[in-house]
Amino acid sequence: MSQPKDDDISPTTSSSSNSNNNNTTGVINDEFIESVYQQMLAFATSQLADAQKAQDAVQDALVAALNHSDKFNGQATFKTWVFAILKNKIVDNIRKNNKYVQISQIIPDGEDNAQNDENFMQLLFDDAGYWHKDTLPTSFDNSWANPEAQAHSEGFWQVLEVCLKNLPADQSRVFLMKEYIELDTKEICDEVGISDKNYYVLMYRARLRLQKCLSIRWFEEQ
Amino acid sequence: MSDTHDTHTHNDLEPNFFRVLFPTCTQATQSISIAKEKPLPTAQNLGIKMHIMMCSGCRAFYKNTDTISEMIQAHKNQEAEQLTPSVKDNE
Repeated sequence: MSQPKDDDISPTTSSSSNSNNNNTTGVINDEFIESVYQQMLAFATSQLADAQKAQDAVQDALVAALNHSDKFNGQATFKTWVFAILKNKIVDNIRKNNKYVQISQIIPDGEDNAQNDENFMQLLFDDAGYWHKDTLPTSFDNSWANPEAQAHSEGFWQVLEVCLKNLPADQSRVFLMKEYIELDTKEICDEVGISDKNYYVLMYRARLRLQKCLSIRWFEEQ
Repeated sequence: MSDTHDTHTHNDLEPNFFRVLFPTCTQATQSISIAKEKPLPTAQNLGIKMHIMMCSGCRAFYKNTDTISEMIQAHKNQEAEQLTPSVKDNE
């Protein structure tokens, strides 16, 4: 907090960026833009399921952010900001176009996914429907302090990204629509072209897989 | 047993009332997830409550589900803090 900061940035943000490593204050160069571009494109494609629309949204967001790149004192701030713009572009896009995108377009190997899900469920639960002893989940609360502190750390978001990528595409798509973009059930079902019952199943499996992945990759390593 | 895990709980035409009040872990976690999307019938909520009192695995799933939402929310609040007023020009 000792270093000069933009008045718009609150003390919380300042202190968290001070404690971060130089990765967060790195310069915004071509190499960095390229890597952010790829991440944005992956996110936009997963949400819009249309390569052209995704590319347009990413480009719009990047141009908007780069026009103000002098306002950012580091890569992390820039990335956060450009993703926030991208998120809004995606929401606009989804709300504007009621065009149906069938889930089968995104997941050509729907059968394999059903089989994968089935195997995953059997890994967690026994035939009677109870947890296997060795897969019994443990509460995240045991290993860490408060959600604010954890979410502020750059690392958590990266682990969450990895775990989201490990989900079947339809699961991560609806999960992000619900938890990150905050669309309601009807908007999500219309956009993805699924019934609300299908949606509940996708969310359930996304939650099971995410918790498993996060507990392995993040919470147990701290 | 391929279908038992996902199809036989809440939307059955003839719900098994015993299983509503005393769900298995698969059924309890499913209900916990659906409860995040829409309100559940009272009996089903009661079933979840009683189950997570006794079952540490489902209790953890219940807590972790909220924890992940809270952390994503916290991350978004952090984003909002970092947004300078000029962001509005770009929308």
